[in-house]
Amino acid sequence: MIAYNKTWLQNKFIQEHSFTALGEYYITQEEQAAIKIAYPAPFYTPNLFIRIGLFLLTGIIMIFTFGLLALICLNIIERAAGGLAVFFGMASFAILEYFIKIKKHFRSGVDDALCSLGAVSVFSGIFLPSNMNGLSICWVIFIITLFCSLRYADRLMASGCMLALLGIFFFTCTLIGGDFKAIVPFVIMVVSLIIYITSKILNDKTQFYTYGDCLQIIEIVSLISLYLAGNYGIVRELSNTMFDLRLAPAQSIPFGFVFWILTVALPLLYLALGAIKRDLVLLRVGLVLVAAIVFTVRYYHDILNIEVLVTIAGLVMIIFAWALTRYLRFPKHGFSSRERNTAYSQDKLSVESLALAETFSPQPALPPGTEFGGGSFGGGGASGDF
Amino acid sequence: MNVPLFSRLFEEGLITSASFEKIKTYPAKQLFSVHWEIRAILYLGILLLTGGLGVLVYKNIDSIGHQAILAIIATICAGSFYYCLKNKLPFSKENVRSPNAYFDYILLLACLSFIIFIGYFQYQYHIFGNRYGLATFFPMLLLFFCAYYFDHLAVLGLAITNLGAWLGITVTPLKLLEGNDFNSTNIIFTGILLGTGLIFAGQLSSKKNYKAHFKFTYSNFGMNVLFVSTLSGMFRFENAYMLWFLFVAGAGCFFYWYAKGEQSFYILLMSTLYVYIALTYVILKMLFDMNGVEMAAIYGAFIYFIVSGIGLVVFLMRTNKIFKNR
Repeated sequence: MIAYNKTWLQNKFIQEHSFTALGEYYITQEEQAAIKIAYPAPFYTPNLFIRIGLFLLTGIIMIFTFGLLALICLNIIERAAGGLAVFFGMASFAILEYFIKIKKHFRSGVDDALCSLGAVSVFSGIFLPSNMNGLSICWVIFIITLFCSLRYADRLMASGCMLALLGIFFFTCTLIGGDFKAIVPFVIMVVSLIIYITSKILNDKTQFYTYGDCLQIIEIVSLISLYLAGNYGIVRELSNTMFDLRLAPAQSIPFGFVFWILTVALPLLYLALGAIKRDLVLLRVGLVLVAAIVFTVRYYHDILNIEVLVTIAGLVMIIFAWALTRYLRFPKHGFSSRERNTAYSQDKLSVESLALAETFSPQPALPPGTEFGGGSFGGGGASGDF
Repeated sequence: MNVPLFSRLFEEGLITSASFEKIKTYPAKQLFSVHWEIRAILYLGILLLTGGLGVLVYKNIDSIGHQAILAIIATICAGSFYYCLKNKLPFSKENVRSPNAYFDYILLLACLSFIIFIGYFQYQYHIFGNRYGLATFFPMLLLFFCAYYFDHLAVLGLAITNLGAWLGITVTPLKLLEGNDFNSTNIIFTGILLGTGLIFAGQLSSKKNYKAHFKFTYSNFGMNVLFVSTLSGMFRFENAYMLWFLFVAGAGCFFYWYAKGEQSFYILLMSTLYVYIALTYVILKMLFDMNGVEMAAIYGAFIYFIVSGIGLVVFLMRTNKIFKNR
C-alpha cells in the first residue's frame, strides 16, 4: 500500500536507531558507518529549511497552475469548477507518484505539498458543487485522508483521518437523536480511547515502523480529543449551540459534575500514567492540558483577578521547576533532570535566543509625539501595508 | 533502545559483542530525562510571572506609589545581577557554557528588570529630559556588555533590538513589518545602515575570533533588517526601482556566498525568498505597466509564477547538493 520503497524505509528506521545509539555512546562511529553501508536508504531528503522552501514553492507552482487552468476554462467555470478541482487533485497525486517512484523523494517538501494539495483539491471538488451534511462531509474526508495516510504515511493526513472518524461518530449520534444525543461525549471518549490504545499497541510493535510517525501523531491527537470530549466547557458550549439548550449564563448542563470531574482528573491521570510508564507523549500532553484545567475553571468561576491568577501560576511554575530540578539532581526513580547525553546542537541555542528576543522585544524609543508637539516621526504607528 | 534490532545487527557482524553487551544493559539503567519539560515550565513561568506582575503594578499604581515600585524593580535587578556575578564562569573569548540551568534565566531577568527600571524612571521622573535616545542608549550599552561578559545569546538579541530601538526601528523578524512605518525614507536608510553594520559586526566576530558564535545572531538580524529595508526602498521609490532591485540582488549574492561558507540552509532559504519577492515585484510591474494588454499580462503573470517556481525548486535542490549534508 505504501508508495515509498519499503526496504529503504526499513533501512532508514535501522539507520535512525543506530544513530541514536551512537549519540548515546552505545556503539562506535565505525559501527554506525558499517550499518549505514549495510542498510542503505538513498531517498532524496534535503535539509529541513530546503524542505520548507520546496514545500512553499511547490504550493505556489501548483496553485498558479490551477489558476491558469481555471483561467482557460473561464467561460464554463461555474459548471466545471468541481470537476476541474477533482481532475487537478488526481493530477497532483500522479505527479506525487512520479516524484516518489522516479525521483525517490521522501519528506522533501515536494511530496508533502503535493499530498496535501491533492487531498484538499479532491475534497473541495466533491464538496463545493454538492449540498452535503456534516456526516457525509466527514465520510468524504475520512476516505481521502485514510487513503493518503496509508499510501504516503503523511502525519497531517493521519490526524485529519482520525478527526474525521470522530466526526462520523459525532454526526451519527446526533442524527439518531434521542438518548444518543446525551451520550455523545462518552461515545467520542470511548472511541478516542480505543484509537489511542490501538495506535499505542501498534506503535510498540516495530514492524509498523513505516507508520511510526503517523501512529505517534494519532496518539497525541486522540489523547487530546479524549480530554476535550469530557471537558466541561467544550461539552457545555457545544451542546448549548448544537442542541439548542438555551442555557442561562450561570446555568449548568445536566450531570455537569461528571464533566467537572473529568476536566480536572484526566490531565492528572495522564501525568501520573506518563510518569509510571515513562511515556513522553502522555507526560507532555498532560502538561499542556493542565493549562486547560486552569482556563476552564477560570472561565466559569470568577475566583481571582486574571492578573493575580497569572502571577500566582507563574510563581507556582517557577517554584515547581526549581524544586523538581533540585529533587532530581541525582536521578531518582529512574528520572533525571539532566539533559540526555546526546550531541547538543548550536542551532537549538540560536533558535531559543531568537524566540526570547521575539517575546521580549522593546518598542522604538522615539517620543509618542504628544509631549511637545514637535516629534517629526513617531515610531510605533503600525501601517506597514504593502 | 531496540534490543531485537541490535541483536540482528550483532548476528550480521555489524556491531561488536562489546557494544551489544552495552546495549543489552540499556533498558535496566535507562534514565528518563525530563530536562526539556522542566525548562519549558520554567520559561512559561517566568513569562507569566513578569506579565502578571506588570499588569498588577499598572493597575495598582495609585495605591503602591512610584518609589515603592521602583525599589522593588531595583531589588530584583540588583539581586539577579549579584547572583550572576557570583556564579559566573571566568570570561573567555570563546563560547562559555552557563554554570547551571537557572543562570541564563536569571541573567535575562536581571537585564529585563534593568530595562524596565530605566524606562520607568524616564517615564515618571524624566531623568534624561527630552533626550529620549539616552533612555535606550544606556540599557543598550549594558545589554551589549552583559551579552559579552556573561556570554548570553538571548541578551545579545535583546541588545540588538535595543540598538534598533535607539535608532528608531523595530528589528525583531516577526514585528519588522508591523512595527515600522516603511513609508518613511528616514527609516529605510537607517535600516540599510543598521543591517549592513550588523552583518559587518558578525563578520568581525568570526574574523577576530572574538565570541565567534555570536556571528549567527548578528547576521540573522542584519539580514532581515537589510532585506526588508531595501525591499521597502524598492516599493517606496517606484521611479528608481531597478536600481533598488540591484541592491537587493547584490545583497542576495552576498548572502548566497555567506550561506555557502557557513553551510547555513536557513540563511540560504531566507535570502532566496527575499530576492524572489523583489524579482516578482519587478516582473509583475513590467508586465502590468504595458498598456492595452491586460489579459496577456494576467496570463503572463500566471506563467511567470509557474516557471519561476520550477526554476527556484531546481535551484534549491542543486544548492542542497552543493552544500554538504549535515
